[in-house]
Amino acid sequence: MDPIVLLDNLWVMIGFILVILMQGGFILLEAGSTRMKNAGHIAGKTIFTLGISSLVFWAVGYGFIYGNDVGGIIGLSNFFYGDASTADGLTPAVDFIFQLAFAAIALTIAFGGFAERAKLAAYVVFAILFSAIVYPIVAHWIWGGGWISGLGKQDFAGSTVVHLTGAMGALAATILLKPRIGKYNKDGSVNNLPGHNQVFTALGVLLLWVGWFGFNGASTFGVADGFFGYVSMNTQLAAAAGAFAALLIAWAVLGKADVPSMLNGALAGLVAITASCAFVAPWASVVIGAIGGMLCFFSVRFFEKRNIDDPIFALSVHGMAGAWGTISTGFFATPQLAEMNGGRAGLFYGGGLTQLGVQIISVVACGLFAFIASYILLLITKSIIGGLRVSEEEEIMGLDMSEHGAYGYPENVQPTLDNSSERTGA
Amino acid sequence: MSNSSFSQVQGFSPEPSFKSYEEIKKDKEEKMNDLAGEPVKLNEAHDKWISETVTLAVHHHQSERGDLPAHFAFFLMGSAGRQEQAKFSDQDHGIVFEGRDDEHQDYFLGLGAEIREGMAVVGYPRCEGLVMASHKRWCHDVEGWKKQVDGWIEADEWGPFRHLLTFIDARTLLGEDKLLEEVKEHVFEQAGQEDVLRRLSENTAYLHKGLNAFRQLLPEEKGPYAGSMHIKDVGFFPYVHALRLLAIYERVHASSTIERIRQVSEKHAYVQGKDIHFKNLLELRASFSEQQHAYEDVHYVPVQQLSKTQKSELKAALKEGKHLFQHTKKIMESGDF
Repeated sequence: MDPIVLLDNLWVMIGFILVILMQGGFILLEAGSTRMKNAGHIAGKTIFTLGISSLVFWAVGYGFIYGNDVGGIIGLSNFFYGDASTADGLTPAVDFIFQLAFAAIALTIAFGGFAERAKLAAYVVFAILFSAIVYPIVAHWIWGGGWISGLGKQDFAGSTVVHLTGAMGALAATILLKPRIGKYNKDGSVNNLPGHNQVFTALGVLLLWVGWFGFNGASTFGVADGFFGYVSMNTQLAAAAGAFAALLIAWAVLGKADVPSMLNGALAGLVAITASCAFVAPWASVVIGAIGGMLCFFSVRFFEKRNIDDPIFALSVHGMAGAWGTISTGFFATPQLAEMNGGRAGLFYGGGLTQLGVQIISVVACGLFAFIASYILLLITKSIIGGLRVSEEEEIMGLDMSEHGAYGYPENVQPTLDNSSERTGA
Repeated sequence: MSNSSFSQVQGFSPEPSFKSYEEIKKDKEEKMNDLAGEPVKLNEAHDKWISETVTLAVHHHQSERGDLPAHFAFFLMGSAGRQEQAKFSDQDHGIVFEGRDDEHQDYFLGLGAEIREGMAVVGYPRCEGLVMASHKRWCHDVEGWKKQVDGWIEADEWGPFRHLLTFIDARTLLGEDKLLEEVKEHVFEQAGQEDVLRRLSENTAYLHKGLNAFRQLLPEEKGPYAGSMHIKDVGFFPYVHALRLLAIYERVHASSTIERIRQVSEKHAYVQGKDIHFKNLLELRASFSEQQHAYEDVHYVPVQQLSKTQKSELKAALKEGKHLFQHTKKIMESGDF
């Protein structure tokens, strides 16, 4: 094998490893953002759902995305993938495993909407359905030769495919599951249910940030022209701008430099630049990241006031920022980079409204599909397992105990509800 | 000291007007709603109810432990000391007596305990920080108080400085005011030094933000008081802290913030006119008294229920309070008076 081709394969493999490590970031992020009594559950479910999504992606997911196109809607070949060939380029197995990691990330994002009140069985069933149907169809539309890719859509590493799709799954889940006990008062006012460990959350964000260089950087699928460096530079700038802008806006609006807002801003910057990192100039990356960070801050407040309880902020970080990032190339894509990576120049570079229109259409179409499909699949899940949500008693004692039989922090959390039941004879 | 000499102690009547703490409580409950909307009258009434409670406590204690052994002053601190109490208020009080700690402290600590329990019955919750005459820290003879004040200053630590700041708001309610004044004069001598003033300023350096960068009010976002603003931390404290420091520097014995403003305004032009804003804050809080049903409620005002004028007055008060606080802090820490 040619050394450069070998390096291409190696680089994408490293990308796969980095993206899989992002699951560690999600474990820390989600566990830190939720309460102690659910920490073991949150961490553990991330691992087994990674397993489920991997198996489903191997069985049908890859085939639905990259199989032979049927009507621009879905692929229908390459199921139970097993191509061991060593082509003179990216080997099919390396390509497969890199794509698998993305599918797993989308699922983890969707599960943000489940946090602290969904049954474990709901995770199992929905993991299968989402990985088999929702993600592959959107991915086929944009990356697998489907109808949106035919329009010239620009989504380099998946602001829409991965993040918006996952967030729409989370939105459907938060709506169906309803808010956690204690989040809202009867008069509609909001209570704070703070995460138990901001240090975990910050480390989670940092791990995700590092992993993003695999997510975006390795989406170049090669090293030959060194373009992965440019993509990585834009990624870094957008994340930096997102964190800083979110910090400033939180400070200005709340009077306090709220740490979770800043951390969400960093992630929003990363999510936003995911679509556009290969299409825009560095200064535009800063703008895109900063707007993503600020948008995320206001979005969190918007959803919270509308009784949508999103403990991990998936809707804002991945949904709003994902949509913004996708649309942003319609404004900022440069003619040179568009020519190199696909699509047309953005509005600010004389490209007119064409690319912007394509980006908006894709966001609306993919967002709507992902939401409706997830909603229906969750209703199916609900009917299969007899309800999506744990009982009030289980939620109060914590999912660590109710679903797994042991607390993640056994010395720090007491099963108070068990004791009170004994005392009252209930 | 016999009963006859007790009757000579300033402010005491030989016989209490009420026969029990429950009767005082009843009187308080009957009159509270009529008074709660008027800050000045409300504080006069609080003084009366607490006076009656203390008088009754003295009589109870005398019947158990014998006659008062010495003259004393019972003083209030905190919002009661500053005559800035709301509808509900907890206890903050102390005693200074003639004679010596080793002779009389035990007796007066017992009296402090009787007052504490009596006030609790009347409807003033016990102070969680134990700022009550039943605690050794807040019950001394004159020399004992001076020694304690010196110890607080020498300790040069956050906690003792906080005690000192609490004490500076003391106001005699019953008894021999000259005893408290003697201690306060000592405090002014010791604490009026520049380095001590600087340390006291640092002790109250934290300013709660009431307005954001867009000059919008910042109510609580979540929890049982969502939509309401903590008027005590955000509104009153910048004025209280600033004027307390200026009162030490200028040796102003008055404890009320408004009176302190009036007395220091001549020398410190930037303080002039601030009393209007502080009065507005007191009236704003009082205007929501009907919605205050528990101690914690009195610290909050519901921002969404404010009229346009009230909002405007509140914003102005917060802005002026911030300026007052920051400027005072600056001059205290720079020593540039």
